[in-house]
Amino acid sequence: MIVKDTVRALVLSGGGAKGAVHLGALMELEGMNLQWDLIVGTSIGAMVAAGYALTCNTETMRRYAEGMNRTVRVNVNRPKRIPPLLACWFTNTFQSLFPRSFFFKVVERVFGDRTFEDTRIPLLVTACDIEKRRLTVFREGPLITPLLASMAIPGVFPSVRVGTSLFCDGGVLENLPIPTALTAGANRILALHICSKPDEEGGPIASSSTGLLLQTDAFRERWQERLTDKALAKVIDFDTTGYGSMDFRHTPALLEIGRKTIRRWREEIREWLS
Amino acid sequence: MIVSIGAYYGYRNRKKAMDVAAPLLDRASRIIAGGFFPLFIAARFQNEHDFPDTFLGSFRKELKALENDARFPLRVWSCYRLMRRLSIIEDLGARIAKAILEAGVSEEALHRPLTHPLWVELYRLDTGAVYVQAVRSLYDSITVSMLHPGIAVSQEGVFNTMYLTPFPCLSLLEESGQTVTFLSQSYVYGYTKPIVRYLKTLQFIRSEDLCRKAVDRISEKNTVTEIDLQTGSSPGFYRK
Repeated sequence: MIVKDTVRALVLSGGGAKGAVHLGALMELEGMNLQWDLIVGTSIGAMVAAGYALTCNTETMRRYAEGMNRTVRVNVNRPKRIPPLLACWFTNTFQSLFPRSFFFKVVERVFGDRTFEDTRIPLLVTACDIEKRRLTVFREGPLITPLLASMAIPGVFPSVRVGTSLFCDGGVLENLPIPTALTAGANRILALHICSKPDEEGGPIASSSTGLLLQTDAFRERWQERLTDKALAKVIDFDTTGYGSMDFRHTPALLEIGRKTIRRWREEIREWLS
Repeated sequence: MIVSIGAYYGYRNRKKAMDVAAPLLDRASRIIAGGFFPLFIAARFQNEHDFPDTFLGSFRKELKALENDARFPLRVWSCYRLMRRLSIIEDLGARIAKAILEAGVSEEALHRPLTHPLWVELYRLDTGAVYVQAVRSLYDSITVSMLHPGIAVSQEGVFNTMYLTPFPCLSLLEESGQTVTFLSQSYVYGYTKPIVRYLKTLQFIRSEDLCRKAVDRISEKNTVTEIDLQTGSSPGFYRK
């Protein structure tokens, strides 16, 4: 818990491949010379938050992001369309779509032996403890395993063991970790929220049961966010409608969405954090 | 007193659960039930005590038929069907209604109006609305109990909230000054592989988390009690 009159926290949501939006936003925020007492991230937001907390330099991060984009582009976008029966056999046989090493090679190279104690800004990373059925906040020790745990998108990457527990993507329980920032003592929060179609409640009904179940999962997530106390947070929604969470081909466009959105809110953000 | 009742796989120990719930159901000014509980409660109020066994028996029979017809291992086959159609078993409602009539439950018993204030919590995927609807008869209770993604064919996208939360709570968020009793039980589904089972595990974890947040919010303006449906103890299923 940080003890100060005003504790300014930057909170970064999950969003898969759309995490480049966070980087674009940080590039603009960096130019505003804001001071942060705490950075909290989950899933891809955890990785961007860790990168920024370590370097406080978005140019270095952009170079890493481009490197990652090149690596992942080759791998993820190849299987265009899988026949339903094959998809069902696969999902009833294997633990995840990709092995961890496949996707996180670059992450491991970047964060290697760095620790939470190495960060210039205090950093919190969240992940879902599958066995204890609750959110866990990592704040000390080696960075890499909590980051891998926080980014272990269910079904896409395998769960990650940290100590005695098994973890997956923190976004499963708290995609926008404002409550974690509040618990840590933050009282002036800027929350960067990657979302699709902000403010839209419903949508066309899916034509298959699988689609309906996915729609209902999204519906449950909206309720979880609705029940989050946002009184001490300014939430910036980044509309990424049309971009897929596993589509890594659009890093430049997503960076621009991040930058443009922050430019639009610049004065309000400055006022909120002053 | 408002009573909210529901539990994942609550039908497995339903006799014990109904024994625990019975005194509270009789005193409730409003009952909101989830899962198969509308059906169990309606049957109890209508003194159709064999009805739940008949219903569950015909449900199991349909699942068995699905297994027998499967061209691949059932888990793969059911997944394939879920990807291609709105209901895993076509005409399930009609088949179960037929089985119930064949088991000797009369049309009169099915449609006799309920005298108790029984409700079910529903949601609309197209508008995002969560609301409650009265259960007026035993027949109504079958219909609403099966309004579940993967089971019901609902072109309007209206389902009961069982898939979202194990017991109804979202419709109670605006209540204030009430005495609310939640009756449920914890259910742990702990598979981490394969993908289908892993995602199901996380669905349970998410549902439980949403319930916890909702109950906490409801507690701010109401007097809330949680009672475990298996032990009858309070604090109940979450705050042990």
